[in-house]
Amino acid sequence: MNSTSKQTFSRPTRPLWLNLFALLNLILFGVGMYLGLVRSPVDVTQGDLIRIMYAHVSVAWICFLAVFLCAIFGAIFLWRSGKINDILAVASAEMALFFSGLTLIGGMTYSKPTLNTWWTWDAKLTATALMFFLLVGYFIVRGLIDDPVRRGRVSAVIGLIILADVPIIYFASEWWRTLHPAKSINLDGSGVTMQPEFLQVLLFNVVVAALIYIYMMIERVRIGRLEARQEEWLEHKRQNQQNQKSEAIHV
Amino acid sequence: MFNSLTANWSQWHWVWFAWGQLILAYIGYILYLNWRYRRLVSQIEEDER
Repeated sequence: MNSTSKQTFSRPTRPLWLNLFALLNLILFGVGMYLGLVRSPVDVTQGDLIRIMYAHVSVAWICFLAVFLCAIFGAIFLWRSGKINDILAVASAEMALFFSGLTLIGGMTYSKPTLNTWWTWDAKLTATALMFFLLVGYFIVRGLIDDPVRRGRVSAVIGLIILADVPIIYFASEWWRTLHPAKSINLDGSGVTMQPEFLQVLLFNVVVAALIYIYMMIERVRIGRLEARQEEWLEHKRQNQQNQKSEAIHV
Repeated sequence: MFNSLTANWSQWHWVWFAWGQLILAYIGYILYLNWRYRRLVSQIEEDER
């Protein structure tokens, strides 16, 4: 019997700092909404619809971050093992699934009034939908494997495959003709085409979405640690029952 | 570009629709995570009793 299963389980207390962090997120989200819905100027071509961009783009960027961190923690698990790396990878994968779903739905909501279509099978949208379904597959595969080490390894490889989709989504509007607008912020150093009044509000909302991601990650990791403990305990119980059965047969 | 002649909704309807779904998704997912946590704690207490 290992040390974990010997200890009796005591209901964990919720730390005060986590509640304070949640409150901070709520306040900052309110400020982000105020900036996006009230303080942001109206766009010359899109009018008030530019305000949807703050909700949509911030969520899409955090989706990329979540996929990136899922792949990083997965790679660390492949390299050095360690249960916590798998817990972090799966938590980030769940965040990526959540944020990619929001990106798709928010994108459709932005697309209908501006481009007069909910959806089109262009490269950028298709690659984003592919990422969403790969993330669904990530969880289906995890559910099919019982051995925690093998499950962690297989899902880490899937996480790395999903990461390969991120640059395809990011550069899709440059590589192919897409209905999706071209990037306004180019990370290759060619500059920012967005006006500073819009950019400041967008960056604020991106930071808020990143903090919400961190908050949700903490909550999800707490669940992951409990799940690992439960799995360990059930495995231990199963082994004990098997041992008792074999002893009874010998007697 | 938004065409107010053909659109059924005003621009602000779309803006609130987009932000509203974001707010609902955040609240819904955080409540779901809390529910999962509490359910797991109860299950573990039940298992290890």
